[in-house]
Amino acid sequence: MKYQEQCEIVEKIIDHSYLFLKFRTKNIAKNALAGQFVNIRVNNSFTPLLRRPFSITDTEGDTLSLLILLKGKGTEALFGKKIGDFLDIIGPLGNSFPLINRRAIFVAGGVGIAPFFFLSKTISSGLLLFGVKSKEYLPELSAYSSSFSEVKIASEDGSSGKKGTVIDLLSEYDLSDKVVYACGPNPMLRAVSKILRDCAQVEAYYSIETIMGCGFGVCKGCAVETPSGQYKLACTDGPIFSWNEVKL
Amino acid sequence: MKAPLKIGSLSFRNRVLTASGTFGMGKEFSDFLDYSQLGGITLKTITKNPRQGNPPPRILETPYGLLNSIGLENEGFQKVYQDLKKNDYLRQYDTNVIFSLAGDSVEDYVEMARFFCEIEGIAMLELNLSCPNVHEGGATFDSNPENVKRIVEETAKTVSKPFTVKFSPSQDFVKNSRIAEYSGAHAITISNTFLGMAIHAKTKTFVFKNKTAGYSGPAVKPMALANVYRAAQAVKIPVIASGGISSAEDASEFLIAGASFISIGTLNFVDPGLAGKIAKEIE
Ligand SMILES: Cc1cc2nc3c(=O)[nH]c(=O)nc-3n(C[C@H](O)[C@H](O)[C@H](O)COP(=O)(O)OP(=O)(O)OC[C@H]3O[C@@H](n4cnc5c(N)ncnc54)[C@H](O)[C@@H]3O)c2cc1C
Ligand SMILES: Cc1cc2nc3c(=O)[nH]c(=O)nc-3n(C[C@H](O)[C@H](O)[C@H](O)COP(=O)(O)O)c2cc1C
Repeated sequence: MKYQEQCEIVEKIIDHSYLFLKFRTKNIAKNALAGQFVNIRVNNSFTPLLRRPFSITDTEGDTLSLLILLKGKGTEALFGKKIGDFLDIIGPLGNSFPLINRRAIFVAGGVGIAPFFFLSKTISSGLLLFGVKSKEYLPELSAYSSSFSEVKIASEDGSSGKKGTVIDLLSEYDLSDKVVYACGPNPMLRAVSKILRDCAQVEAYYSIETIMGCGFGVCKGCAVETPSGQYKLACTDGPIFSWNEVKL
Repeated sequence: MKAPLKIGSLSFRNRVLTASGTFGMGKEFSDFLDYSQLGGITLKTITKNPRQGNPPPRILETPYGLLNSIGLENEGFQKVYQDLKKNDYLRQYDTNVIFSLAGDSVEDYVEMARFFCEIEGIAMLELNLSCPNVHEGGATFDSNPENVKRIVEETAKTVSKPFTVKFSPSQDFVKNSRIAEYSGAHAITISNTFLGMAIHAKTKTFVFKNKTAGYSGPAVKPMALANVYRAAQAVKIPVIASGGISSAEDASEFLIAGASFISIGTLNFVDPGLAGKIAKEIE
């Protein structure tokens, strides 16, 4: 079941380049699974016209949290919202991360960290590998409820953690018999795939981002190509795909 | 003067419909909307052969508008017909289900219309003539008035359920509307999306593989209003308005322009509950 609800902002934190918003929902939070997303109407006017999709970062009872990176006009409008404002949200949308009984490695690039706080509460004792451009893109991890067994950070300019990318962190691990969950920009996911191709018996799932219209399978605007040249929809077939199911 | 709440012999609860391609195959909005609040729902256009659609990107947001180049992704006539034969889920909806179809030839339209008329859950058909005719180098069917005449005449002879004919705003829709009327159509739909385009100036490339795309949303409303007015002046059969409707006020404007019914398209994506709210407000 999907819901369209007017949700009140109950908490707002601007954290480095990120916006953390917590909403009170009626049904969305209670029915959400890790990996699912919501589609938000950021303004009641038509600027912008379409909703904006965001991964569910956490739920607690009837509250829903999102982690939003400032990008363009839609996210900018969200940065301007205040506690007590109501936003029109639809969700929970899309599929969820499959739960695999193996040691988990979460690979996050930038705001790609968003779905993993929620997932870590179901799959506890996973290892988080987190790559950011610089420390300005590193959210205050301790502010989010999560249960990663270990966290390793890489930054491109070396301002936080190891100097390098999340791929440098990942390449230090033997991935056979592990499950990898990855979310981040497409170039990062492609680099993860390159590593995966050399491992035997690896299982991996990506949460992918596309331009999206409705978010619930109607407009067919968020098509992603499969290796056989067919199309899948990021909103209803995904956003979680097995790593070799889609071409990025 | 109020237009009757009827198309052919089919009665409607109210004047609010949803537009094809923006309402899926009917199931997708059931969590958001009580369909019994609506006059009718129009399903995604089904083509003779399955179509996998265009490569991404398929949509682009513009100020107050939307460009789409979906490529009529659908499972094709055979599959959809067989599935409905087995399980006519459309029967459960307490509203008029309008089934939209498009062929690759004049004969395809007539054949598909005949088959889908057998499905009890389908109350009415929409012949989408604003889609490319592969036998005429990709020009839309409605670019040739002779096609309009033949498709409508043959369909009218063959099927027992009412049907509307949906036109492109880029063709001579006034002339086409007259032809549709005297050839036996029960209504006309004005109109499909406008011809649009998007280009990346930086890379000097076209955004969409097909270069052009369909333009819809609030931005097109003034053009749609003028087109509906012109078509409604030309024919006596009901005109179903489509283009940029986003509120009860918009809906009223189209009714004043001469439409008998209004359909909500792009705005279903923005507010999936909107059609129900508009229906309540314009009562
Ligand atoms: C399933 C899913 C989950 C997501 N989760 C998060 C999240 O948790 N946190 C977060 O910060 N962002 C997330 N994103 C990306 C987020 O939706 C975009 O950053 C946002 O839509 C940009 O909107 P804008 O108006 O600020 O940017 P603009 O650049 O002005 O947007 C213009 C258009 O492009 C689209 N668009 C632009 N960039 C992206 C992108 N990277 N991905 C998808 N669409 C884009 C917009 O939807 C819009 O249609 C997610 C995207 C998807 C599909
Ligand atoms: C994503 C998308 C898909 C569409 N698909 C179809 C279709 O399959 N058949 C059709 O007749 N019209 C299709 N249309 C056109 C709409 O039914 C409608 O006529 C048009 O968008 C104008 O109305 P609007 O401005 O309210 O969207 C589509 C429009 C959009 C935006």
